[in-house]
Order: sequence, then C-alpha cells, then structure tokens
Amino acid sequence: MIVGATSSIAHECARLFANQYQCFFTLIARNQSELDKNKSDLLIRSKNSTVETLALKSFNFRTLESLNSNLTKPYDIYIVAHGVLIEQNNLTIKKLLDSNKVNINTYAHLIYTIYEYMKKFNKGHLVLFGSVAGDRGRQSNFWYGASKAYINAIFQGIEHDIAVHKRNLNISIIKPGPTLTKMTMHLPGAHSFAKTPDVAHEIVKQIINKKSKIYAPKKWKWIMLIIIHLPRFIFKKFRI
Amino acid sequence: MILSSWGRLRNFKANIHGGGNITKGFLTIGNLRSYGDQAYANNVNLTVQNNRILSFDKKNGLLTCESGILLNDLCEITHKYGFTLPVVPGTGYVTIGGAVSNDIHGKSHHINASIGNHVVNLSIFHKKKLYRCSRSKNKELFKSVIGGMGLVGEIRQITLRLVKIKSTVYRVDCIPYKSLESFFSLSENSNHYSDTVAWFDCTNKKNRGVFFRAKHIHDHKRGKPKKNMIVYPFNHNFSFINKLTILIFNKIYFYVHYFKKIKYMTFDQFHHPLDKIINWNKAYGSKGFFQFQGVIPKIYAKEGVSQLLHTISLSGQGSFLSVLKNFGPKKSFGYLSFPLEGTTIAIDFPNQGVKTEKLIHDLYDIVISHCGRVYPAKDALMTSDQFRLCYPHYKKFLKFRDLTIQSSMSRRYKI
Repeated sequence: MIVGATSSIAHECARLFANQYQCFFTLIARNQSELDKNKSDLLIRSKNSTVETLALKSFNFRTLESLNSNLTKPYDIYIVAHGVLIEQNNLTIKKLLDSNKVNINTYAHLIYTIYEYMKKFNKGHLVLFGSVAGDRGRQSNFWYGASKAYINAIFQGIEHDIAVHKRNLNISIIKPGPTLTKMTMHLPGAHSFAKTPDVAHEIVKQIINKKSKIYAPKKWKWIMLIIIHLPRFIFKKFRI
Repeated sequence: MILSSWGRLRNFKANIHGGGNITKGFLTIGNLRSYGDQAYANNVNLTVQNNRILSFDKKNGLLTCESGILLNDLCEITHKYGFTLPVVPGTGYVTIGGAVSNDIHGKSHHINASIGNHVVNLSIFHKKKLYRCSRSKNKELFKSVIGGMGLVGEIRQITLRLVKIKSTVYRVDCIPYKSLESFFSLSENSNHYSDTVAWFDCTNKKNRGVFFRAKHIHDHKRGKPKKNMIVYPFNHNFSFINKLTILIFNKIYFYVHYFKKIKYMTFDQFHHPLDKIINWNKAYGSKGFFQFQGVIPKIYAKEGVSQLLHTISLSGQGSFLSVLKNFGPKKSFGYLSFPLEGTTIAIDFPNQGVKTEKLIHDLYDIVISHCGRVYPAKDALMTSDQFRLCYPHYKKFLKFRDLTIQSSMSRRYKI
C-alpha cells in the first residue's frame, strides 16, 4: 500500500517493486486523475501486478478493511510518502497552516489508522517518509523540517512500541536528501540534487533489507551525523 | 539551474519550472541531448519527471505516454510485449517529446521514415489552451509541432504506433568499402534490410569505411546482452580526440572490419553502442564539440557528399564518430522536419575555436548550395538566412509559433 502515491519517489519505488516481484498495489492520494495515470503506468510496466486506487478523502479504517476483503493476506509493506513542501521564502501564516494540515494532521490520521490496522493483523512493514530537514532545525527550512521532525518522533515511538510489546512488525523511516522531483524542481540548485531513480533504488534496496533508518543517497547519513553533532556555537556560524 | 547540452559548448543559466501548468513563456525541454543551444532558454520547463505510460493497446500496438519518458525506458517495456519503436535514434537517452520536436530519424529511415510519421495523435498546451491534434484534426498545428523544436508549446501526451518484432536480436552484416561509389551501390542494394548505416574514415582521401546492414532474426539464443555501463571518469580541459588518436583509431577500426563478416547483436548493442559509456561527451574536453549533420537530396548526393568529405579530410579535423546514411523516399510530416530523400552525413568536431567554426560554415554552404538541409538538433552555428534557405516551409510554421517561448536557438534563427 502506498499513500501519497503520486509522489515522484514513491511512484519510482512502486515501479522497482513491480519489476522485482508480483505485487498487489493499493495506491492512495489526493488527486484521483493522477492516480489513474499511475495505475495504468504500473500495469503496463509489470505484467503480473494488480493495482487498486483509493482517493485520500475516503480513507479510513473501514475502507481499509473493505479494500482488504478481496486479499487473502494483509499487506506486506505500507509506504506513507504523503506531504507537501513548505517553502520558507514568501511564507504566509495561511500557507503554513494549510501545509501543516497536510503534513501533520492528515499524516497523524494516516499513521494512526494504518498502525491500528497493522496491529490487528500483527504483520507488516511500515515505511514513513521523513527528510534530512527533520534532523536539525535550520534557518533555511525549519518549518518543513519541523513537520518532518514530527514524523521522526512518531517513528521513534512506534519503533519503541514494537520492541516493548514484541510485535511482529517493522518500521522504517526514509530520509531522502535533496532530490530532483516535481516538488523541488523549481528550487535554486536543483541541478545538483540526486536523481529520483537513484534515490528510489537505494530506498527499495534498504526496505527489502528491513533497515530502520534509511538515508538516500547514502552519503547523507554521514553529512547529517556531522550536522546533528555540531556544537551550537559553531552551527550558528553556518548559513545552511 | 545551469543547463549544459550534449555538445558542452557553453552553459546556460535558467529558471526551472516543474512539470505541470505553465504560466507563460517557458520552453519545454527533455533530457538535454541536442548538441547545440536548442534547449537553452531563460525559463525552462522540465518534463523528465513526466514519464508515465498511460495506455497500451496490445492488439494494434498503439501506445500513449507522457512526453518525458526516455526512449530506452519505452523500448524496454514495449519489448516485453513484442513491440518496438519504428524509429530508434543513436542514443536511448532522449525523451519522446524531444524526439517528436526534432522529428528524429534512425537507421531504419529508408523503410520507416522519421518518428513524426508514426505519431497517431498528440496533445499540446499551445497558447494557453490544450489541443489534441493528429493528421486529420488540427492538421496544421500537428505539422508545426513535429520538428517544431519546442517553440509551439508543451507536448503533454503522445500516442505512437509501434511495430511488431519477433525478437530483439539483429543479424548484422559488416561490409568494408573502399570508395564512395561502393557506399552508394551498397546502399541501393540493401534497401530490403530493416536497418542500414555506414561509418566512414574521415582521414582517408578515398573515403573508405564500413557499411552495416541488419535484420531481425528469430533466434533468441544469439546475441549476448551485456549491461555493463562505464561512466567516463575524467574531467579534463584538452580533447582526447585529436589528429593522432583519430588516425590510429580509424586505421584499427577499418582493419578490424577488413573482411566481410556477420555479427549477432542485441537491440542496445546495435542501436546504442555509445550509451555504454555514460558521459562520453566529456572525452572532448571542457571546450566541448560541434556536430555537423546535413542531408543532400538524391540528385546531387554523389557530388555533394564527395565535396563534403573532401573538405573535411583537407581540414584535418574530425573524429571517429562519423556516419553516412541514405534516406528513403518517404516524406516527413512536419514543416521543419529534417529528413529528405538523399544522403545524410554526420560527424563530430572537437571545438578548436574559430578554425572549427569556419569549417562548419563551409560545410553548411556546401549543403545549402546543393539544396540540402542542416539538422537543428545538432546545430550550434546556423544563421537565420541559412535556416530560411534550408526550411522553406518556415512561414507556415510561424503561424503557430508561440512568441512568448524564446530559446537561444530561436533568437539565432530569428523565428
């Protein structure tokens, strides 16, 4: 199941899964016409997969159950790639609150529902999309970073919950570095961003390996390690 | 974002707009594989993210896709179903939108003509409105979009008619020839082969070379797919391609093919031999390179081509990448389509400044004096007068020209 399936990275991941396995996809997103396009793309690219779509507004526990009624077993992987970019330049309070509705309120709704559902079956792998921006607040993008840090805390909590209650579940968080997607294409410096297929390749590889913290491309693991541990008096001197 | 096209002659700073609704004046670009300044504009709209296939009619081979899908990707998918593109260019890293905007041709031109002839319909965002056009509907707009260099609007979706194949393995005959005459006679005699192309030795005064002709075979076992990609690892100022290396390489290449032989090749090996080395254009050094490609109509072909080859070999410039091909009689559809019944010649020149520019202008003059055409996708130097001589239908094209879209090339051509 992929929520936020119209995201460039999520769709690329779906293609890679479809290439390797015989998959049953349920794609969920806000825009139904885009979803239909993604559906036909996946169906043509992989002969054996089946694809269902669902508009986000009708997403709740009951539809989730009804979706599953024609499946013999519950989903293996739940990818939540839902979210919008909050641009720090020309940010107004209205824009910020609207974005937060998507990035925080809806996200909470999604994760809560999916996690309850997973607990019921005691099976599955939940994959959340965070961002390197969520690791440490920086002047250039802290509003976006904050909404991603929220996801990071959820990840930590659920990971702990799984461990304490010894559930048969997995959870991963993906922190992509700047990637050239539809969402980021207009940003300055976009040409030096990582390419979507490369990032998706790394993500799928690590999801299959059941890694819990996934940085893609890998180098961001080391870059963020440094940024997180910089003492504050030094950190303040950088314009990042 | 800084744009750099395949010839790496200069860079260009542009504002990028992601795929989606264009406000005004954005030039839509694909994967930046044209050689000159065609894709350079102040405001560009990238389509490479719009790479979905929207429908595929397996019975009739009709495929609808978004304009940003790479041909490599498209071929890989269609091969699964036993179909392939009717026109395959020398690299798989171009987008279908870019391919239609340049009305590209391939080794199969003598049978399948150019890609515009296989577009069933397309939808284009033109002057703030979305149009669907085909050969019967909005015909004139359709003719301007094909080969329109992105100056008409943004191509959103394209429906193509694919051709059926039984396998992706080719049987390739490699035949050496020692003079231009024998190239022409070989070409004449090979029209029943699905793909033909020739390499020529630009350092040789007698214009020797190797002629390749290929057919699909039904034997799946032959042709070993090799998928090892090499990334060109260096970033240097000088060009690896110089007089000495060309001389040595061309000698070796000719003598390797000295005896006629038959090879079995996979689709990629035959069509995209250079794609194996990612960023091979860096071998020409940081100054970049020019590519010259022109076509000379059939009646003047022998005279014109020999004059071109003579000029090239006298200049002492050139490279290994030199191609001759006979175009077939089928007419291309677009107002600004390049292909023409006759002979085309393509060759790279490392950028040596004024010397190279002068040579290319000389070559352009020869082409134009023989009523030929120069290929805009490869061009970085053609003047507006030369453009008007090459493409007499440009006035019909101008009717549909969206003047808010400006590229470095459109300013040079004054269109």
